[in-house]
Formats: sequence, C-alpha cells, structure tokens
Amino acid sequence: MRRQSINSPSIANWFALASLLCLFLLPIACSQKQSAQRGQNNLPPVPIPYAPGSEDGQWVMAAKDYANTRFSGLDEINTANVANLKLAWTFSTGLTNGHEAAPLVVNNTMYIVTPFPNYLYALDLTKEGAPMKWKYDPQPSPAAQGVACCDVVNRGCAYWEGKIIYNTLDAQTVAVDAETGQEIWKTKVGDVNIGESITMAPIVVKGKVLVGNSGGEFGVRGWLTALDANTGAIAWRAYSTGPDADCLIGPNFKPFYEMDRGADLGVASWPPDAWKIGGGGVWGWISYDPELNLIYYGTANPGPWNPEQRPGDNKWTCGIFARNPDTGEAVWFYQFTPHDLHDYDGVNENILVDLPINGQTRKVIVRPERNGYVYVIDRASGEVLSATPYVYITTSKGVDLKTGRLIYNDEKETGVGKVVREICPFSAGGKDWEPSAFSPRTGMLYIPANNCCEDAEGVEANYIAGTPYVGMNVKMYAGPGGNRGEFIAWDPVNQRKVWSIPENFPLWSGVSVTAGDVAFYGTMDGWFKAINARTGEELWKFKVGSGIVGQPVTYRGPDGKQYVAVLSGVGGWAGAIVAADLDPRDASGAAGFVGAMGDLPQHTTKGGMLYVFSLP
Amino acid sequence: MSSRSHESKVVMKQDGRAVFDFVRSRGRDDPCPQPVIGFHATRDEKNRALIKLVAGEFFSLAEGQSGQGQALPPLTALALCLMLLLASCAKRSEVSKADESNKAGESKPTRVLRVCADPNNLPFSNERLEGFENKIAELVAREMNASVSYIWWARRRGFIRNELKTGQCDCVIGVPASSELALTTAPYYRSSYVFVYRKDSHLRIHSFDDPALRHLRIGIQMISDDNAYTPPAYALAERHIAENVRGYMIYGDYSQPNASAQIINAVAAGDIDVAIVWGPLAGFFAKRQTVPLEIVPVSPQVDKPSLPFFYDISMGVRRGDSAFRDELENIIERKRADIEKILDEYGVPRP
Repeated sequence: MRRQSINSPSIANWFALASLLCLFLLPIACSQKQSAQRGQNNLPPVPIPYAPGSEDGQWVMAAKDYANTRFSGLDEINTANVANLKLAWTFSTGLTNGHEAAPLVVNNTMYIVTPFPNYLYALDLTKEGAPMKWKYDPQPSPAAQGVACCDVVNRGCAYWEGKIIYNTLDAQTVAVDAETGQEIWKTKVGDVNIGESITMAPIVVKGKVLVGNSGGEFGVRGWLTALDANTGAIAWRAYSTGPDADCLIGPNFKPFYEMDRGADLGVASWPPDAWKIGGGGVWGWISYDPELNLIYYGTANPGPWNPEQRPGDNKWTCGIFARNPDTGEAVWFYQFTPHDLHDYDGVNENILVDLPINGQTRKVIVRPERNGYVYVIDRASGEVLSATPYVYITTSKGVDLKTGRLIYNDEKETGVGKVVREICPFSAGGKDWEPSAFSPRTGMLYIPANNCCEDAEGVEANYIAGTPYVGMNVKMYAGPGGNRGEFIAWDPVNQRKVWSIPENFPLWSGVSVTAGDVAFYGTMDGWFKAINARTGEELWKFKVGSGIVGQPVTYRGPDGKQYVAVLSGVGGWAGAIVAADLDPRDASGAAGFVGAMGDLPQHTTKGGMLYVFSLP
Repeated sequence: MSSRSHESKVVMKQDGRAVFDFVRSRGRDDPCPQPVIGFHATRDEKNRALIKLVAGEFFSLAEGQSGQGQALPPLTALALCLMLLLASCAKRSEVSKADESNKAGESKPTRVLRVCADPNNLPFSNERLEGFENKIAELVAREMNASVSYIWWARRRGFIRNELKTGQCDCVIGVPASSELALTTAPYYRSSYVFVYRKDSHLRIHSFDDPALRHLRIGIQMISDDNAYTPPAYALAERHIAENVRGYMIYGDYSQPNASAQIINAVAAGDIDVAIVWGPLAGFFAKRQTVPLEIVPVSPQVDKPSLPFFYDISMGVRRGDSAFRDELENIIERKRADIEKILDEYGVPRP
C-alpha cells in the first residue's frame, strides 16, 4: 500500500504535545468526578473514564471515554510486536446486516449489540473461547426496518452501574442487568409510525442516559433526550428545531457568533411551520466535559424539505450544541453548514482535547466534519479556532472565522433538470458517522475518511406510498487519485495532514489507537489493519470474513493479556450493496452509493462475526 | 412484552406478518407469520413457541417455553400446528387457499397471484381490500384463473427489495412505468398532480404560474430521499414560493388509517387554501369530505426545465420475469375497459 509521507511532526510539535500530558493528569484531578460505580452483584466499581489516563483495561462506552478519544492506555501490543498478532477466538452474531457497533468490555464480560433485531450478547471472557453468558432479545417492532434510512444498524451500548443500556431500531431505550441479562427497564422514546428510529450509541452522564433520534427524510423533528439511568423515566428533551422553549434555549445560551444569536431562531430561520418537520436528528456521538459540565453533540441535516423550499439557516440543524447535562439547557451552538444543500448531516464525533494553540493551552473540540473540514473549536465558548480541509472540497470555499459562516460555492447547488458535476465531498461527506481516534502520545487525529464525489441530476420518478416523486440521479465516484477512501493522520495544532494511506473503498469503520502507538481500523473488503500511529507504516493485517463497518476496541483480558476486538459484517449506507443485495446495475441504488460500490460484492460477502486477536 | 403484544395491528402488518389470513403471508426474517386470528390467547411465549414450531424449528421447544400445551387442548394445538405447518411452510407456489374473491362454486384456482401491497394506503390498497389496486389484482387473478395472495408491507424504502426481489411476491400493482426497480408492463393508466381547493373558495387555479399562489396557503406532500423530493416542491421552489407552503408527510402517522388523507382534510377544514397532490389521492379523498372540493390538473404538465406532473403507472414484476410481464400485459390489454371502470369508481383523474 502506497503511503503519502507529507511530513513528520517537528520537534517543536513535541514540545507542544508535552502540554497534552496534562490530559493524563486530568483524570486524577477529576477523580472525584469519575463516577465510581458499583455493580449490582458486588462486582468491583467501574470507573467511567473522562479522558486517557489511568487505564483499567476496559471499554465501557462505544467511544472509550467521555472525551471520545478511542485511545487505550494498553501497550502490551505495540509497534514492535503487533506483526505477531494472532486470532484468539471468534463469535458469530447470526445476522447479516451491517455491524457498526463497538463491543464493550466490563468486568471480564464482553457485550455486543447487533443490528436489527438488536440482540444483546454477553460473552464470558473468563472462560476458554468466551462462551455466551446470555442473550437478550428486545423484540423491536419489525416495522422499524422500513423507516431506517441506511441499513438497520446499531452503533453500540453503554455501561452504567451494573446495567448495559442501548437503543433499539424501533426507538426504545432499554437497560439490561449486566450480570443476568434481565431487562431492568424499557422506555419508548420515539414512534416508528411517524418515521422515527434510533441507531446511535447512548452515553450515560451523571446518571442520565442521553439518546437521540434518526429519521430526517420522514420529516422527523430531531431531539436529544435524557432518561434516568435507574428508572428509564424521561428527564428532559431538547428539540433541534422550533421555539427556544422546545430547544431548551434560555438565558444562559451564549453562542459565540452573531449568526447563532436571536430569539426563536429554530422558528425564525425557517418558512412558517417548516420547522415542525425540519429534521436535525441526533444520531451521532455525544461527548462530555466534567469540568465545564457540558455535553456536546451534532445535529443532522434539515429534511424533508428541498433547499429552495426552506430559505433561511434552518436552525438548529447541521451544527453542534453544548448543553448542561443536568437540565438539558443549551449553553452554546455553532452551525457548521447553515442551510445545508448536500445532505451533510452534522453528527460526527466531537473529540475533547486540550491543545497548545498560539502559545496557550486551549480546551478544544477537534471535529472532522462531514462538509470536509477539521474544525478546532473552543469548547467553553464555541469559537472556531481553525477549519481546515482534510479532503478535496468543491462545495464550499472555506470558513469565515470572523462570522463563523461556511462560504458556499453556488455552482454546486443542485436542482431539478440541472446536472451538477463534481460535488465534493459527496453526500456521505469527507467522513460519515465512522468515528476517528485521537492519541495524546502522538497528538494526532486518525480519520477514517472518504474520498468520493458525486454528480447529481434530478430526473426520473420514484414511487413511495402511492405518490410518484422526483428522484435524484446521483452518481458517486472516487475523488482525485482514484482511491475511494483514505486513512488520515491529522495534526490539529498545525492543521495539516501528516501522512495518509489511500484505501480502495470508502472507510466505514471506526478507529482506535493505543499507548503501544498502534492504530487499528478495518476496510469494507474485509482487511483489519494495524498501523504505526507515528509513521503510517502498515504493521499487520488480517482478512476477516466480511467487510468491516464496525468499531475496533482493545482490552485487557482476565489472563492479563491485551486483546483487540472488532465486528465484521459489511453493511450500512456504503455497504448496502452487499448487505441488502442491491443490484450493481442500478447505480442510483442506496441513494447513489451503489454507483461507487459496484465492485464491492466481488470483494466481500455479508455475515456478522466478532474477531478477537492477541499476541501468542 | 406488553408493548409488543399491544403494538397496533397495523404495525405488525407493515412487514407482512400479522395478517387476518395468516396462511397467505410470509415475512422474510420471521419466516412464519404471527397468527392473530386463530389464536385468541396471545401470550407472547405461547405465540413464539408456536411460531417457531411452524417455522420448523422444532428444537426450540426444548428451550423450555412454558404454557404452550396447557393453554390449548392438545388436539386443537396439534391440529393448528399441523395446519400452520402445512399451509405456511409449504412451498409458496403450492399455497392454494382460495381468496375471498374466489367464490365457492367457481372452479378451484390452481395458481396464486402473489401481490405485494401496503395494508394502509388508500386509495391504492389496504388490508380490507378496499383499494383500487386490490380490485385490479382481483380482476387480473380472475383472468389468470388464480387466487390472490397478499404480502403486506408498508410502501417505503425496501418495499421492492424486501418483497419483490426476494421472491416473497411476484408483482406490484402500481409502479411508475419508468421505474428501474422492477420490470414494468405497458402502463394501464396515466394520472396527474392536481390542485385541490374548496368550491366555495371561488379560486380558479390551474397553473403554477397563477399569481394567487404567492399568497395562498399551499399544502404539498413531502418525502426526502437524499436530495429527491416531490414534483410540486420543485415547481414551487422554482418560482420562489416558499414562505406560504406547508408540508405534509406522504406517510403521515402510519398508526392512523388513511394517513395520507391529512392534506385533503386540511383543505376541507380550511387550514390551507390549496393542496397540490397526486391525482388518485385527491380524487378519492375529496369525495369523502363534507364540503365540495374542486380538483384541477396542474399546468404546465411538464414544467421547465424537464419536470413532469403526469406519470404513467404500470404493474411491476421482478427483473427477468418477462414471460409473466407479458402475461400481465395481455390481461391489461384485454380488460382495459374493466380497469377503466374501476379507476372511474375511485375517481382517479386521468387527464
């Protein structure tokens, strides 16, 4: 595999990175804030980590820690020995849709949430071959499959005080006893009958489970909801559109930019009533800063309106909210993509790190956004410190840091009867939901990126529910260089690509990185790879049974050894051509994604399987 | 538990499992239907045990499901199981339970026309067979000396993929003639988008270029599928008419019957002044209002630059099933007058 060595981090960088070490001290400083949790069966308390620090060898939420770094302090597997990595054991989920979840490891048990019908498996790591302890079946409504936009995926669960908590496709949140698999509570948070579904992995902050919905194309109004982790009772709900009261916007709301200030912008930035079916789902990642007592999450694109039909900025879609987790009250908002034209859902991960910027240590969010820019944002104020392209972009010309506004390229606006070529990045963005990882050791962000563009032409009629509507003939294809994916090591301080690995297929898998300086990710044609996190050198790879769209994790087993685990099972929007047997001749299938993925069926077949690796 | 067993019937029907005539239905992931008629006792455990039994998963009985044998008299249970087994797990092509449309006394049909349809999508189809597509399916089946068997599935993403393409059913009664998802017959009707307003409003709108559209409250139906929208949304946008437009979802709230009628009800109630909807929907629901409504096909019929407002509707079969497609085409040709009559009864505007 060809590597593009652009530059290696300079010595000056390492000084800068030294300040990152404070990240290691943070958890100690915040130790009283770590919710030391006692299991229900006298199991040892499980610390919920804020950021990289005192590594306990577990993986208790999909993003590893509240800072969403997906960094593990384990270093038994490192750059010197990872080449010897061997398969330890496997587990078949028995399902064939896209497997996007991160397995959790808590108290020597591994937990796996499957795609619909959303089984939860518990595997006993103390026994040879990790036999199944129990399986929980939430019995979601089959109707939910018809409202899931992009395969019937699930992105994982969270551990909290002896419970495994996750969402089902039919918009229910469920808590299951981590020891016994018994259901503790189940709360219906949304309604499939109006098109709501849930695919995201919840997080639990201060006893509140945070959950958001999907379904913008059905006119679902987006929301984030907090439930009591002990009872499942709904504590608060913050909508992404509508009056300030519905959006939990009050006197403490202080957005940094003028464009995000004003009364009831969730109404005023839309034509009358359009906000009622305005989209802005919350189906991505949530992070949490205990010191600032703020949670951060992105909102999806405005829907189901065509852009011309919703003049205005369409608040609060395609942006990021900072909220108080206790009350849900909004503290600031920043809109990445006002008046979205290209389906750039703003749901990507917000990684919380402290970085040296212009000689000062700043508490920031690093965010590889779907519109193609890596944003570095002051997480206390919402000020954008930098926004730099990490992929090839034609749809916009930059971000005005004075006003915070994205500068659109009007030539790339689509419309009926109009052919618009070279829309880059394509609708799935420079990076879709698949989460990147950040290593405090290298100071680099590891981005599983797409390098695809699309041509759009509004033409033929589609037909749903007895009503023809006009389909967009979207043709997706590889961007400059011909590689559809790219694994990028990004230096957020100096705003540059340090190195990258071109990948044939778009990357639809998450990344994790370790104190052994190894980054792990998977490809859609089924290679699971270990990369030297400093140099980009490929150190090891293993061909799994089906393409990888899951999230790798690493943990310390009861035997004291370090393991690496990942779900294979191709699917999701990009992998639908295989998971749903779409016809490769119909290039417009999966909203055009099939056009870019026509050769995937020759490279992989479907099938959900967990793979676990260790050193011999 | 309770949330599942009390889930509305409609929801269960959406994927074709819970059907009044379970013999005729097969879902993909759950190969045997959850019978809702024939078992008045619907404790979930019991149902699941039976379903699994029907599915041929005999080993599941060893899982210790309780109550199965006790709740039903053993002989009844055995009979039901046998019946389900025979009916539901027989090769689908051999399923030959006569449909209501095949009256006793007629020669027993040897073929089955397996139709994919939405159980809650009037005027097109519903589970009570009240839609014009239901009537046309019956007509076609009679011509084939076949019985109709319905596979119910909500008409939304995955409808064709999950049903037609996997072989759960053989035809869809209404798809646009230009659809790439299926092999289509020659069209059997053409309809148009129409303006709908109250007769007592004294409006005379027939064109998108009518200046009145700039201030009237306009309702349109919406769906978004990655930058694909309904034709009226484009036509209004092209004319920068946005502030006075109100959106109604095509599906509405699927737990309600006739969810897509909401926009017509809104015209009748005076919530909006004019709706721009697909003709068959307007023709059917306008008749059911207490106030008289005007239905006027939109013009231009093809808006600039290339946006049509009329669509030819065909029957769709699996790609490759060209012999079956030809057979359907023949029937359409022969029975054109009867089809027209059905469309007239349902008030389908055919400008």
